[in-house]
Amino acid sequence: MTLATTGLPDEVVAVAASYDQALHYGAQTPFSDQLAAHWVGSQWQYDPQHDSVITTGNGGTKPTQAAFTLFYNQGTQKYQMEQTLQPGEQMWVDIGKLIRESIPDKNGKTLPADLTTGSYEIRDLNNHAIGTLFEGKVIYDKTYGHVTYGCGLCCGDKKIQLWYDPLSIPFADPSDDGVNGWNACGGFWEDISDGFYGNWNVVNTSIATVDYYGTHTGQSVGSTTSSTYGQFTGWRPGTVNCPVQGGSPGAPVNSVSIYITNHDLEQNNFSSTVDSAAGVSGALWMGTAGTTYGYSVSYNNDANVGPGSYAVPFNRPGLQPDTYTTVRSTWYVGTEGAEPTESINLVRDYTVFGTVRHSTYNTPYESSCTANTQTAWIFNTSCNFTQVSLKSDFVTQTYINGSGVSLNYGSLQYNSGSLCSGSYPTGANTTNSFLQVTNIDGSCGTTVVGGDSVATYPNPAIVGGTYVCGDNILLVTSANTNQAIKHVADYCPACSAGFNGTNGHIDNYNSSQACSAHNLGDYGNFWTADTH
Amino acid sequence: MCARTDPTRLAALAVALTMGGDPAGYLGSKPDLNKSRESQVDPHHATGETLFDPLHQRAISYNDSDLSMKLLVVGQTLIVNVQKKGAPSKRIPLPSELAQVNQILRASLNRALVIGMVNGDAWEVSVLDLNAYTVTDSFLAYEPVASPDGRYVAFIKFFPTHFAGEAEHHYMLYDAKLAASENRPAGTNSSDRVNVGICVYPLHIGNHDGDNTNTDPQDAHIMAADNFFWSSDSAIYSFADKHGDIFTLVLARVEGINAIPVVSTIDITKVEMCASLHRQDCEVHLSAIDFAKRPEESVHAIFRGINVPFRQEFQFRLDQFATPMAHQKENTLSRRE
Repeated sequence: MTLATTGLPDEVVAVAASYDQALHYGAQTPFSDQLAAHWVGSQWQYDPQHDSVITTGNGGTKPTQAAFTLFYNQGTQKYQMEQTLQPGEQMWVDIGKLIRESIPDKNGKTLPADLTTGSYEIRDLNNHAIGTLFEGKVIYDKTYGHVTYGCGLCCGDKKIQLWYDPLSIPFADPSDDGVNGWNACGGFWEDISDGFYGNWNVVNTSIATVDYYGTHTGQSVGSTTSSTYGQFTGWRPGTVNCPVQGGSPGAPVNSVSIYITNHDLEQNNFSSTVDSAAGVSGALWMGTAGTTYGYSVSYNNDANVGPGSYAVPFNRPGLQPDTYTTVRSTWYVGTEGAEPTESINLVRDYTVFGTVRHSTYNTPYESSCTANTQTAWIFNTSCNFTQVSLKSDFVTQTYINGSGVSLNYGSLQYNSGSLCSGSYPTGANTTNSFLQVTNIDGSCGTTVVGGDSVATYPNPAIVGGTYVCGDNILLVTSANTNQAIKHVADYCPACSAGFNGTNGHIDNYNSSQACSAHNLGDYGNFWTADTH
Repeated sequence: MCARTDPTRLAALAVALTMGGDPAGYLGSKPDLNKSRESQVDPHHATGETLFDPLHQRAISYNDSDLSMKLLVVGQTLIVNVQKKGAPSKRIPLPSELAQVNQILRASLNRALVIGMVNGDAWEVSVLDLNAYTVTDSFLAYEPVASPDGRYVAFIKFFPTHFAGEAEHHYMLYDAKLAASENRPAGTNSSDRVNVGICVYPLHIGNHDGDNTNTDPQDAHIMAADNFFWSSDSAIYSFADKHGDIFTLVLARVEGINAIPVVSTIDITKVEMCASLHRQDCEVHLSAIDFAKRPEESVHAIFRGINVPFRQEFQFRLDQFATPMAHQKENTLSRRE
């Protein structure tokens, strides 16, 4: 049968209909031979008098994955199904059955039992540019014979463009590019790169090359142009047809180099060298990433810079307490998502503690003490005890601090009694008996050095703790200047407390020979990091 | 030891809040790389007030309607000037090793407490007799905190600040209403400045010479609190202890039972404490606590991260705390022998 009309295209749509003899029970469906990657339907119905069966089929020559989505509750909820369709195969979705039998979707979600209407969408997940799916729908009406249904509309693309314009690619590194289409139904960019595979071309291949899929590789620093061509499902206003259209998008390609030339937290020396063709510029940022937090800072307050070398110091007190494992530099010379970046994994992580209280300790010298003498004992590792006279304030301070240098018996250290338990003479105890030592060694086994050694909690000599013997401890003022770089050498059992509102407590060994701590105040509260 | 807590009850009670974030990018000042020597301390660029600064001793005093006490500094000697109403002022010199005074407060029985520091780590508590104008007792400690009424001092038992091997924290209580001898284990000299007070926690520890040093670091109890926290009526105080992967919130009641505290505890595993942190190196301190006013009320404890911006709040009903009963006998002081 042939039907002629003078109307505009798609003003008349062929519909297949079937009714019972009383015209009370009927079913209708429109005819369409359109293939598309994306279909949307405005209405389906399900109630005691109606049911909707929506179908989609694979009109292509290869298998494809079809995604079928029902929207309901004003589009806020969705029910999702996926099915692989062989060429010629159809997917039938009886919405009434899904609701009645509470059949779960691919995410385990079921449709509400009282659901009566909604919309739907069909997508070809394998073919984005030129789809292979056709759509059909049958709506039953058991009462009046007349059926109302929403047409399925194919959703083509109004316009196309490359992902990045310009595309900036790091020298010698690959950088993907592709084609986006502006979806006429949803009003968003969607990836239709598959319609443009195999047709990519770069004008100057000594600067950059491109492969079948649009992956570009910088060959040398410079600028050139990249383009591709292909077909995609287009869109024609006022019709349900989506014509196949051709396109050849192109954009400049900047092949640039970026190198992190310094990354030294202790000297706050962070710098990068960037290179490109003349005229390319963008903001340069450097940063570091930790387990939980990140930190980044720009060169010259986010100003655009061209090729050159730039120092980008960190505002170190701005780094949150965390363990930082990488340093990153990015030159923002491309569109977002394709920025040349270099990232370095730190050989020595930055363990940032934030503001830490730094107290001081020393080894009192008997020569600085003033009190009268008292009876005391000194002993050696063979547990030979000798009764001696030491100034009483020296005895007190040696016990409190754990070490002292006597006038006549050399360096002395506290011992808990574990070394010579049972050998202590009458009157001798751990507060008045001290072990003779050659040097004042910290728990790390090295002689503590004034102005350099620090004591920590937990004990750095125990494997697996926060600190390791010999670690560098960086102290930075609130003005971001270095206060000191010290080294872990000793254990401070009291440093698990006494934070004074800061994030920690580290004890700094001082070379002072003072008998007491009257002149040995805290070193200060400083932003502190273990740079290992 | 402590009864383990049902982990499921924490899920409903815990309120976790992780703070912080990626700071906005901005340029820092140019670094001065020459400042690395010990002597180049710029106090203006240090952050916050220092805790121990004896060369700049802050003015410390106590005043009420009939008593005034004020710290005097004469050379390296620290003196408390006592002015009782209607009486001439008198001076009480403090122990010579005391380098800084942090607090003076009135205690029971016409006594006073002076809490100060002997160096950047260690503290000393002195008890003044305001009738005899003398120091009647003095002991070394870590983190001492007096009860609001001045009767008690909660503290960590002293160990030498360095070269003492592994140390663990024994949480002690001193009763200023008692004599020096009554605050020491039987047979201990009253001049002993270390083996002082009653051990409140860990349980079954007692108080013996050197019992807090040379411990197994894997089995050591370490304070996990910024401080000891006293209730306003001085009847109860709290702190947190860390033992392995267990944080224990400890409540100690001192009212009405001959001043020997009744200890109750609740355990929080590291997993429960740090569930929202997603880090292995989760170290936290109890930073604040609200005590229940009535038995049916709850205790509200706030923990903060030590090396990461982190905050974890717990609310416990008092009946969720386990109360070990065997504790009291082993901590009997000399006065009860």
